[in-house]
Amino acid sequence: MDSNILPIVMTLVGLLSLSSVITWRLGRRKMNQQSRETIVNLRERVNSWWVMLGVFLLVLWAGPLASVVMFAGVSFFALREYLTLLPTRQADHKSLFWAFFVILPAHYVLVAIEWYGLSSIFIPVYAFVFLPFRRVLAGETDDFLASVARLQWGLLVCVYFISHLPMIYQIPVVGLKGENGILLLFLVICAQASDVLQYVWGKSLGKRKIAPKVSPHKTVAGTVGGIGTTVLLGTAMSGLTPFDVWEAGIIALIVCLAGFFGGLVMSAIKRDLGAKDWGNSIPGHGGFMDRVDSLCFAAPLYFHIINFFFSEGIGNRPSPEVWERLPWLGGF
Amino acid sequence: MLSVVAGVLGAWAFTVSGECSWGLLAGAGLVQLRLMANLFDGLVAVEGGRATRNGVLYNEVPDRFTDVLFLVGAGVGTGTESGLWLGWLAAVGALLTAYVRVHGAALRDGEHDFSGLGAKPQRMFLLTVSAISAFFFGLEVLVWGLGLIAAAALLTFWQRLRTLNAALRGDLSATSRKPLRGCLSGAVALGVRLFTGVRKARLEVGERGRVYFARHRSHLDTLVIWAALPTAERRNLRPVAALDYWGKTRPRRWFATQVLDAILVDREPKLGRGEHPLAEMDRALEAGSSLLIFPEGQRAPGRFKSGIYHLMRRFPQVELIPVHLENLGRILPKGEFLPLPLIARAEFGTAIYYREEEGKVSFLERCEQAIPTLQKH
Repeated sequence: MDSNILPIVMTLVGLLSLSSVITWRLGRRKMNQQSRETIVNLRERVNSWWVMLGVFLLVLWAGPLASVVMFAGVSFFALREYLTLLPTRQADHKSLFWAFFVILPAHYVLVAIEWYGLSSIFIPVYAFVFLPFRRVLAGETDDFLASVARLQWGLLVCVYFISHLPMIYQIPVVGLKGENGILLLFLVICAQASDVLQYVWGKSLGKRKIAPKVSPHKTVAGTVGGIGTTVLLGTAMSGLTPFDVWEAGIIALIVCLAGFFGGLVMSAIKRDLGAKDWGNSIPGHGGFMDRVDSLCFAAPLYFHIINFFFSEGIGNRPSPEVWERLPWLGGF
Repeated sequence: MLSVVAGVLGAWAFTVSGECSWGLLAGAGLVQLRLMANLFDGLVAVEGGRATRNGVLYNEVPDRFTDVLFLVGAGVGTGTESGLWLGWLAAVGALLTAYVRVHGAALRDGEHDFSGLGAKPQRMFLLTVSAISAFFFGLEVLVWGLGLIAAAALLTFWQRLRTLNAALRGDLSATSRKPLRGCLSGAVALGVRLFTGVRKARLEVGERGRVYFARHRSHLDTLVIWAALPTAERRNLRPVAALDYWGKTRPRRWFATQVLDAILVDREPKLGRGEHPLAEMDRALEAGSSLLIFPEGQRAPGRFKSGIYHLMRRFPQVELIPVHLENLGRILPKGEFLPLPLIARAEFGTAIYYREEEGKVSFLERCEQAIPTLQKH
């Protein structure tokens, strides 16, 4: 494990222990049926957090390859939940099989061997060209566009976006000496803390709903309070990251906003398909997708912000020769 | 006698394999030569009319020496302390399996029990494979192989001892119980649950056999219901499966009869040949097993056929449990070979019973309606 993340790890374990104690104490009070259910759900959530934190820390300790394997698993389960809710038909069978057992593993192999030039285009170019071909071979035209688009969207969100999390290790960040675990940790903490804090603020003083049709539990106070607290948390972590205080705050804000809207988007899809949760694999939380929906959309944004502003990665500036030939733009 | 010569040469070949890796291949070849020699000895004896009473001795005793020579030779050849230990352990295991077999034959009027993963052909096969792989991937593989052989031999010794004990006590049902097969079924059920995401049902285990029934949409239906049952119920279940699918190839038939413990039913019985397809189901229910049936008799949607009615009329006290399967038709639709990893669900409804005053038509209707419908989560 990189040395620079140890303080954060200790804080996380401490906070989670505190939540365990609090929920345990709350559960011993007398209360009505509805509060009882909330507390039981809260306990399940906290217990699941222990498991998720344990797995995540183990992966951080084990390094880049382990994170590729773990997020490949997350992608697989998320895609599985997504496609289970979708109205697929027999004509989709072969292209779905390709998506699960060829495209997803191949993409993560490219991520694992750090072939950024190919892994960044494999799904948007090759998979997206191939899948409609495979689907048209099935000879069924009913619902053709919708079924191809649904599968492409699923691959984009569940596989391509999520794979940006392990790809954070590949950014040659200035001044980090390759210890990029802290960047992954920063993103995951911001996205998840924002979710948790929105829940806490919303439960304690939230009244006015922010998007009642899409996500009936999100309130204005919860959203504002949650995002505000998370931004403060982000600035507090800045000392361990390559960001200064302002940069950390702004990045945390972007992650929170992307996470918030990502959560709303996935929630809208879920409701469009007539479901409340994506699944029931994580007790108290719902499915995998319910836990990573905010990360999905924040991950690629975060990846490219770091790659653009904090690294000397290839291809993140315009070609200098062309740039110099355009003097009226003034240069950077 | 040839087998002992092969054994000595093989032991020598394995021993030098530390210095010259070709010894591994030579050893593997000699193991196969020894098996052939065994076969040959027997053939010559029978052909030449020389199958004498003391011929058994000439077969058994040198064979034990050969076993020890090969296994210990391989142990020495690994060049490590642990390899040597495992080689000796495998040799002891080999002797014990043979001992309990011969001893059992003496006690049971010459009935030899050749079963088990640690039997001679199996352990020699393992030795050959691990020697050849060790040639390509290094001597550690041989250490692992010897460990595997030792474990298999000791397990087989234990298994044969139990079978023998049960047979001598006169408990015939125990002789057919296979502990390894139980582990295999458990592992397969776990694999099915992981792949399809189906949860183990919270069902009370019945005192006696039950009849589960469901609509049939996919070849996976049987497997999924079987895997979703609580362990005790699963062990007691005998799914009724179509002979034309499950009996089609030998591996599939083996899987259906040995792992699922299925009753294979010919959907198009030739008139007058064999017994009525329902006869074996009757016997299973009488023996206290549970059945799993698909009353539609096919994977396309249709009305329930009357087989379930006739069955229940003969066993009116048996519980009928309806099962609803979700998504199986999408995971493996008709005409596809490769299953998708979508999430399946198996929902068990409340039990219904046969009523004497009710006619066939209304009973079948009641069955159809008893299948629970999906509750959106």
